[in-house]
Amino acid sequence: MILPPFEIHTPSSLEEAIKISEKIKSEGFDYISGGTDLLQNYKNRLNVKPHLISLKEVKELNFIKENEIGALSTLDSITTNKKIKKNFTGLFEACSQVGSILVRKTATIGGNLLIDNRCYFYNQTAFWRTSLGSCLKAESDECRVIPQKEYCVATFSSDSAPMLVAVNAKYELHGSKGSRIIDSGNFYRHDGIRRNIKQKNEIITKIILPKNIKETKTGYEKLRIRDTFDYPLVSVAGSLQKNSKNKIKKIKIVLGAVGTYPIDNDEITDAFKGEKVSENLIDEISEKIQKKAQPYNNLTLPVGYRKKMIGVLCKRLIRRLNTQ
Amino acid sequence: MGKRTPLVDGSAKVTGEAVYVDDIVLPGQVMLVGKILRSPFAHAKIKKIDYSKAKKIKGVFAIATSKDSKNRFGVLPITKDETAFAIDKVTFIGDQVAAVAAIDEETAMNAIDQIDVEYEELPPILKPEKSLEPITNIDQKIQPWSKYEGNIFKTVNQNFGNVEKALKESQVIKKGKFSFNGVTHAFTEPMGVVASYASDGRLTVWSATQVPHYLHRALSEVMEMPMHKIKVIRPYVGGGFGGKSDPFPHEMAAAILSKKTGKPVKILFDRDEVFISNHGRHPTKTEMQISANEKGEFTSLEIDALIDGGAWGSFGVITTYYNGVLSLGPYKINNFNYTGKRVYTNKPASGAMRGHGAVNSRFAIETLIDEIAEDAGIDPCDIRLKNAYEPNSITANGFRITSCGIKECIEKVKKASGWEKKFGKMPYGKGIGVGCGFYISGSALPINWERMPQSTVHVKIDFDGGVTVHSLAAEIGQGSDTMLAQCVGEVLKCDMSRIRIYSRNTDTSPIDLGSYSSRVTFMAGLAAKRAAQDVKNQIINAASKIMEIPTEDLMLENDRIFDLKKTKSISIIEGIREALHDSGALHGKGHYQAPNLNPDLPRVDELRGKESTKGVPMGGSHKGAAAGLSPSYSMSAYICELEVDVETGLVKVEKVWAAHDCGKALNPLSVEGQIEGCIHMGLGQALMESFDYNRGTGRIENSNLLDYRCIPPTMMPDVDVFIVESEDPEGPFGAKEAGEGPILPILPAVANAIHDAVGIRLRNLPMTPEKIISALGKKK
Repeated sequence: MILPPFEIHTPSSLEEAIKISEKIKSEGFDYISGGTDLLQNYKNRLNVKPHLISLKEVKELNFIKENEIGALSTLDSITTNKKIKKNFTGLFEACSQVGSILVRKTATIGGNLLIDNRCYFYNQTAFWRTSLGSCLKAESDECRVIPQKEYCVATFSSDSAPMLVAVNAKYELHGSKGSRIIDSGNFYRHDGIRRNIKQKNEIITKIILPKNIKETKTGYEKLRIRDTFDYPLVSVAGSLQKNSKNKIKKIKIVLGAVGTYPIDNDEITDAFKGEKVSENLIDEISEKIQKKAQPYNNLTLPVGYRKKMIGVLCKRLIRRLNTQ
Repeated sequence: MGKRTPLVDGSAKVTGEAVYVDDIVLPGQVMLVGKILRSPFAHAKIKKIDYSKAKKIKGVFAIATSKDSKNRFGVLPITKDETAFAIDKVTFIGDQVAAVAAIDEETAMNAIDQIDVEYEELPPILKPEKSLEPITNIDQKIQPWSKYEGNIFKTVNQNFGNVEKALKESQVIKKGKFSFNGVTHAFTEPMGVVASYASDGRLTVWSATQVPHYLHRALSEVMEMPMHKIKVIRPYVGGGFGGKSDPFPHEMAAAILSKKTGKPVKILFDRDEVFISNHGRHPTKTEMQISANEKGEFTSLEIDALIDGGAWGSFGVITTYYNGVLSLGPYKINNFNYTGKRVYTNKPASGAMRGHGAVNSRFAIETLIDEIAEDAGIDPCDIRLKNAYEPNSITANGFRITSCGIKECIEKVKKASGWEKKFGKMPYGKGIGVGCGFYISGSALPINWERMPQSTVHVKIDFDGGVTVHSLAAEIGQGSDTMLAQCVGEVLKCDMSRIRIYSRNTDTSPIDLGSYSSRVTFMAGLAAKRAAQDVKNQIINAASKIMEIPTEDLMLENDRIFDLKKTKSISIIEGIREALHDSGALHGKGHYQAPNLNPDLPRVDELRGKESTKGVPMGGSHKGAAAGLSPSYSMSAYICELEVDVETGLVKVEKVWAAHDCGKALNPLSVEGQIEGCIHMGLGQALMESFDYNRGTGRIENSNLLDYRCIPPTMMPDVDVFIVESEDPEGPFGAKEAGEGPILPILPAVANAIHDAVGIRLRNLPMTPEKIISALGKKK
């Protein structure tokens, strides 16, 4: 399948990118950085726009600092950064499990935070969709997962975003009206189509990590059938801070690939503050999180199995965080 | 010969010089792009096709539909049920309805969108059980011409010995119901074709095919042109595995569009279309029962297979037989009942795929044998050794087993894997399992029952001393060109660099039936050897004249001709020139036809007290005796070690010890590659690969290589290959097949290892993590 025709713009600064976006916004455009997900969707004729604004030459967004990561950093540059591996192990684990090595060499962290939600009925060729009548997120006005016309349940498939939400990282966005900083936890919306609060021409410029990231234990568990290529079938990102008495100061568990956004479980985990991590506590938290989770039936494996695995991965993760 | 030899076309592939269909551009001509309009319904009548809008689009040159061709074709002459375009009704989602030739791909896609087809939907028949039911009106008949009841395509009943009696004398009886999802070949290069109908009325077709000869025939029938006016060229092919061994409708569409436009037309598939074209392994439901006596000797085998053929016949008649008869080796089983039914359903056709017809039944047999061994208290390797055939044996249905290295295969892997220390003795979650295989080395009976050799090779030598080998054996990445060069080089004792292989073009290559059924090394290899021998004799005769030494006292070595004592010699070039001087041409020919009861070999029907049947080489005289009949059989035994994650159900295959008897490894490098490739493919079917169909519509849901999961390179286990050389008495230099048989043992070896690891028996493939977790839950 060939790509559809589009015009590509290659600004070399953030300001230039925003300017171009204003000029062509009436015709429709997408930003593109690595393009590893976007172009596949274009080949499948999914929400194709006549213009692409490439951010590859906006070099100011490509950096890794102590507590900031430029959005244009490739996933590979993050996984090979020794400081990130040491200070923010969970991000290393999440990024190193995205796609394959070839994908990670091209794909950027900003792109991964914004990758389109996925669904069995959406990520298919144009001919495929005609034979099943297409779906809400593409050409039709009806969802094929849950027969209704109101909302889209396409699955949130980023590996890095749940991890960033789990440490309360912030995103800096830049648009026509300048910059703003948003909590990653407030960035995503509960909708597979209108997926986040980013204005169309805003660009994620950087990720701001919390100052105490070094003191936080972090980790990421991903369920996938193949140990490469696969998007998450469910994923669990977690962070744990303990006080001087070795008791929980804060624990945060965020689920990916379960709903339409990274789902936190603060109302469950906050209740365990001040307690000591034990096998019983691990079981209790994991069971509660598993019970609450409601994966949609729109990925390969059956929902019941995926739900069960949330508990398994939660346990493995918390155990790991506790001994890290 | 017998040395690890790099493939003769290797450098062209790694440098990108190799020309595949996608690369073909005809100089000075406008190349049109063809696109296919496919049915969105699994079963529907076509009421009307209106392409008036599409025709008006600038850049659209022609639109073809069934009005342009109604002739039927199909790989088996007895079940031709395909047409270039669907006539009156569509029978699966993706059925070819029309095709457009346009100036570029975008224009062609746009034109496809502008063709209006009016359909009247019919209820799709998707479950094979449903196809067994009688029909009440003709609309329910997927292929109306089929002679069987309901939507049955083919029924096979075969009985040998006396199962009932055997069961009475048996100590252990094990049975099970198995189900196997369909799988795809997942070859690298999607199908592609270029057709060029030139002003002289000749048609040239370049296609990524395993069977140029069958394509040649089908084109002749569909285009109503004599074969000599059609030229089929096989460019480099990026893998086949059986998926390119049928003539296909898109090949016909390209030819029709080129004839309509007078311009070359290229059609390339995307991966979705490859899945739609399918011809992969048949989804199958198999009920099987095996019995053994108190000594652990197998006494009987009963198989009942329901095989989902999809909408077309393809190789289905053969598949239906193979699901039964290929179960009759490598173990002695004298009492056998088989019923097989292959049915039509409104799904893309199933077809031939590596290990054709044998893989699913083999899985069932080998896992049931493990259960028998467990009950009888015999080691799984030992029970297999005990029942394995010796060389020169006859199976219950009259297969003639000549060379037979099965025992050596089992012994090799048992020893190398440290089996005795591991089986039943590893910690919970870790396990080891064994499986064996048995496969044909080419089908003795050709598809077209004609007086024609199955393989022919011509060898030509000119004044430059270069050896030109002409064959139509299709090099599809498996190494057949290298094999031909080795066979010729071995006879002529010349360097490989002197040999040039021409195996692409039906105008210049003598007929070879193609690369399928693991026939090429055996059959084309023998033809090449004989052709080289023919040329060698001519050179020796010429040398004899110059050297004044009788031919029987001359020999070839290192590009020179010597007397036996090596006191006198001339260069081979001198010999060649002398031979050419007298004749103007130095040509050799060789061919292969499966033997008709060679007197030096066991005579099957005689041994069984019957008269031989005319026309059926070797084998028995019952109906269907020729199915699965082969001049030789390959054997294999694998042991696999793995770990099951008992919380997630994910399986990590850690190591495979693989022994395969290929008679003689002409090129051990290729044999190792085939074995490793088979393990890769087999692990996929065992653990994750599956065609998932939408239950309501019949749409393949995962028709892309992200959702249809093949084993990634990162998950390939370590493989230790053991090549067992049983020196086949008839194969070229002792060789038999190594391309398909090696897939058979890996699937059951995995299942048996899972049982050893966690104590569960899985009978539905693929053995995905949720099935493992569910089985572990039930066990508790």
